[in-house]
Amino acid sequence: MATPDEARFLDLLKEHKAILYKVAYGYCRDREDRHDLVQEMTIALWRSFGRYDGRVKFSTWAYRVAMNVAISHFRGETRRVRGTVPIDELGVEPASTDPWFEEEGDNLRVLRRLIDGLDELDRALILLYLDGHTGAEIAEVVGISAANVTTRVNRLKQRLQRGFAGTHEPRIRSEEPK
Amino acid sequence: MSMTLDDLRAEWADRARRLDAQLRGTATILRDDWIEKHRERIGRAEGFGKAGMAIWIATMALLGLFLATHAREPALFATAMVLDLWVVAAGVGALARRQALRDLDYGRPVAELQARVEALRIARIRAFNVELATGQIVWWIPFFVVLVDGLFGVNLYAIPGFPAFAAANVAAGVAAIPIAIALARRYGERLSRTSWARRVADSIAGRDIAEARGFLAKLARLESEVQG
Repeated sequence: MATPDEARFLDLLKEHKAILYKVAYGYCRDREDRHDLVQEMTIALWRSFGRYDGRVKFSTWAYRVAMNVAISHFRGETRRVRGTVPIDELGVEPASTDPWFEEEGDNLRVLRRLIDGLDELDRALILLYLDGHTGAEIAEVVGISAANVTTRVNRLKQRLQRGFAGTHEPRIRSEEPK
Repeated sequence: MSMTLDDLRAEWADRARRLDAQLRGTATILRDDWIEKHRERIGRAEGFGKAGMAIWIATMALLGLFLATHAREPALFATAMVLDLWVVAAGVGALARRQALRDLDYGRPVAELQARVEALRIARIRAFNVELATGQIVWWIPFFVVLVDGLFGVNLYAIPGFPAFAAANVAAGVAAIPIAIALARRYGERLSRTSWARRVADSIAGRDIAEARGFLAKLARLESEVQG
């Protein structure tokens, strides 16, 4: 039987596993690599769970773990864990969401290509922004001030906006930074 | 239709919300014994290195035995001592780095954790370079002398001409270090980016450390470039 801690971890994982898929898709285009990355994230979440003290929301903590694993993976700093543990038994099935992500519309596909051109840290900021997080929430995940997040996200928005306008010239209107 | 990044954000966030809802509805979890069943595999993924640890301990034990049985033969004793010190230092360093990796808390904020990861990466590359350079000296003549005496009972130092041969080889090993650095700097970037040889060449040439320092500087700029 699972211990109370394990049961709580599994409950929270069930509730928040979409975070893993979203972050993995933000950092990996290749399906196999993406599945590996979700597996690495799941293992990292379990290993780190003993240190989760509830001072931040579980979703914030899960984003931190997922992004830290993704950036380390991106930088080639993690061991490859392909096939190490069957995470599908935990209801974490990256393959099940592949079509869901890959059937995105033209606008999101272009945006995805522009995001692929960002470095690992800017990518974290813009993925959090696009997922609907506030400046304060992004600051908690990344560990910089909310003011700095606002400045950086606005710069990134301008950059992506320019890139998007270059690709979709007739359909884009200029936008002043907020 | 015109489109701004905020419009795209709404589209993106809407898709994320739908994904959340879909996944919550379909989750099936075999919760009873998953962690118990896979605890060992999870540990293995952590890079526990049981085989490496066993080889390290066995090597130290054999060298300890050699030192004990050759205490009255200064040349052989000193040679085995150099080898033993190298093995102990390399093993302790590897254990310390492994423990530091295990102590990483991935639940810390990204900027903080990544700075820690990068510092460990620099330490790992430096240790690799030092071990590679000193290994040129230790893992040829000293190892050969100890191996031949340990296996066959032949003291190579007693053979006429061997001390000169050993000195020449050690000198060649030392000379190989700057040559390896020069070759790695000149030709390393021609190797495939993902190959093992390229990783070694990048370490020797110092490109890995320079890249890691660049990333640390980028992390530092994350907080310092406020309202630029």
